Amino acid sequence: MPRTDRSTSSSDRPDRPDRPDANTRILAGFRILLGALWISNLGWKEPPEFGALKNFTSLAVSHPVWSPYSSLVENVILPNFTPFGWFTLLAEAALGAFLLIGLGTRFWALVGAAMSVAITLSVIKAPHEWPWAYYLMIGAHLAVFASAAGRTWGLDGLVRPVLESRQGRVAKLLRKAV
Amino acid sequence: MDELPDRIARTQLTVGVVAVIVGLLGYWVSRDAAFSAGPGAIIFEDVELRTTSYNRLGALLTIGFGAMGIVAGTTRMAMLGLIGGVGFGLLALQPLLQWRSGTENLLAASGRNIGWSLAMALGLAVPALLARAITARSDKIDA
Repeated sequence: MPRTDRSTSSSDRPDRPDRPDANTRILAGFRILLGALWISNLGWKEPPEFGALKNFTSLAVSHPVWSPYSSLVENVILPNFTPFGWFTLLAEAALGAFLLIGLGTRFWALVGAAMSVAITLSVIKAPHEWPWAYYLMIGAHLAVFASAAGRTWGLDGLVRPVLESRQGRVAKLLRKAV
Repeated sequence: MDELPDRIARTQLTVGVVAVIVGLLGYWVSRDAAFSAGPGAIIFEDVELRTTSYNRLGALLTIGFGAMGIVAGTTRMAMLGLIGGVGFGLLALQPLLQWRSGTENLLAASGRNIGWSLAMALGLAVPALLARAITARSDKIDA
């Protein structure tokens, strides 16, 4: 059986085989929504104090989920919070931007899943939190990874044909990211 | 299937149109705010969407750089999109530099503007760089 291309290029319109079908458009919209989610949450992670982010991160210590992670937050992250705050701001800005525009989508979806795991380990035992929101965030990023949702309505659809025409390790590695 | 240069032009046009619409919304919501100082006004704040923040200067720059994307897409001058992309890149850097230096936020931008401007920068610059790479490759083959 031929391997199915995950490029989301299948069509439900035989007259326009180059047009993505409804399913791939929904997945592309879902990717854009995830990008907007990260960008929307940058508003409360601002320097110099990163106060709200610090309170949020401290929940991993006051309401521990997994003791090794709690210990990491208490002994490494909280005492060095300013560099951590800048890292979080820049990483989430990049994550939101790349998912929104659909560039390197599969790579950034994995980054988003990893960051969602870290958030999950920080907050799910805190009062007034709904753990399923964070489980769904992890699942959403894995769905975007699996469907390579940047190839429709995203820059991956432009970059991938160029990468496919190139040889070499770097091109091969980059092809896996898009 | 559409040729890659067609898709590059269409991508720059689409990104440019989206940027101009957001810039116009930003200008509309910030019409009563200071021209070039904070605090700015947030688009769709009324409905709790918490999107990007603008004063009129920030909104006008967004419209200008977005318009470069529209012109790049319609005239197929992809490198014009690169200029718009660099402009959005500078808009992404602006709040970071002003926070770092502790100076006034000239464009009333928030953390959300960093992610948004970076996305627009990529959306205009990457297609321009792809167009240049394709042209260079064709020239090499012709030679």
